[in-house]
Amino acid sequence: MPPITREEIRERLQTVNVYITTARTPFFDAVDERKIRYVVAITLFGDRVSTREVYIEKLEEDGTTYTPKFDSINLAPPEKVQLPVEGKDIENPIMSLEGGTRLYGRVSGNSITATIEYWDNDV
Amino acid sequence: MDGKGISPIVERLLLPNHLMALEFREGWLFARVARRRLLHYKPYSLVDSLGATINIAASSTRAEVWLRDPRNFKNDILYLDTTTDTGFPWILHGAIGWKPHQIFVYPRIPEGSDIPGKFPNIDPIKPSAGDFTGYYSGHESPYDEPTDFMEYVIRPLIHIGHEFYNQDSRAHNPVANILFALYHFQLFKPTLTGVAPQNRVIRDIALRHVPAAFLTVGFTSHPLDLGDTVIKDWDAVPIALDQAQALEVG
Repeated sequence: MPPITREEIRERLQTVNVYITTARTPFFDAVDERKIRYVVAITLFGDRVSTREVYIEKLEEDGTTYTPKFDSINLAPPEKVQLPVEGKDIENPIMSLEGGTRLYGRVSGNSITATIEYWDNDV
Repeated sequence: MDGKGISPIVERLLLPNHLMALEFREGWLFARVARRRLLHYKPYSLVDSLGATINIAASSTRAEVWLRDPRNFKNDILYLDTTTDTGFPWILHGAIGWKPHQIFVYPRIPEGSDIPGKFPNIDPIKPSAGDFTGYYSGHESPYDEPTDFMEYVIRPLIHIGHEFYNQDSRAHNPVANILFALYHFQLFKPTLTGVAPQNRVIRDIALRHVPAAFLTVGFTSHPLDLGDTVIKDWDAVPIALDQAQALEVG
């Protein structure tokens, strides 16, 4: 079979918007076991009230271990922070999540909006 | 493609004067392409029997449909409604590229029959469940370059059906590039006892003494039958490969 093409990746690209609270908030359900999920970018939007710290964590397959991925991201009230900082590319993800894992966000106070872009290595 | 047995269909299509052996359930026919016409329908947007665009919801199936002409949805694009044309037998040969690639396509040849291309020792394929076998998609047969991953050889008077499953989390309308060659061909007639003029070319094809395409009409383990009407109209004499190899040529 031919390798997946850039066009196919574009067709698979998903964009999800979530409200991250002070409790761990999942970006999506656990990744299907047969897939690998490539996270292309995460964009965090300030809450226009106060500076917050944002934590991005991966829940491992054991269902109990949270592995920090991006820790204490400083987010000023009017700011927008994008990961990766220097441009995004669908073929150069910032993170890959194997089947059975999840990605969570948490904020130090109030709640913020976050947008995550990802694609899966299989349909 | 990567040279591992999957080729763009344009590399498989025949030219005028090319030889071919056609496998049917009753046996093999041997022929020479007299005329060839390339046909494509691109882009082809899947429609239902009322001509409405088929938009398959996320993780949903679409029951069997013909590939109908959106301009006159009573017509099946892949149907030859007569056995011969301008004095020649004719046949369609080609492939279909699909997009988006998250749509799984399950062909039925002929319509309503079992889905071809499954492993011999597994249960029947259920498109309604989005089974991960027995399908092909725009990954195996890309829209811009249809491949022989699913190679269609369609005789007259037969309809081909397709079922679909959308593996994506968004709704999609399947869009195809239907790329075929229409062959008008000269059928060689074997004579099983004694020497006859066309025995030699038939034997040479069967023995691989001359280059020829071997095409199965239908699917490998289930070649289609010719049927009484086609046999009569084509004046066809299907024979086994062993018989073809043993023809007397003088």
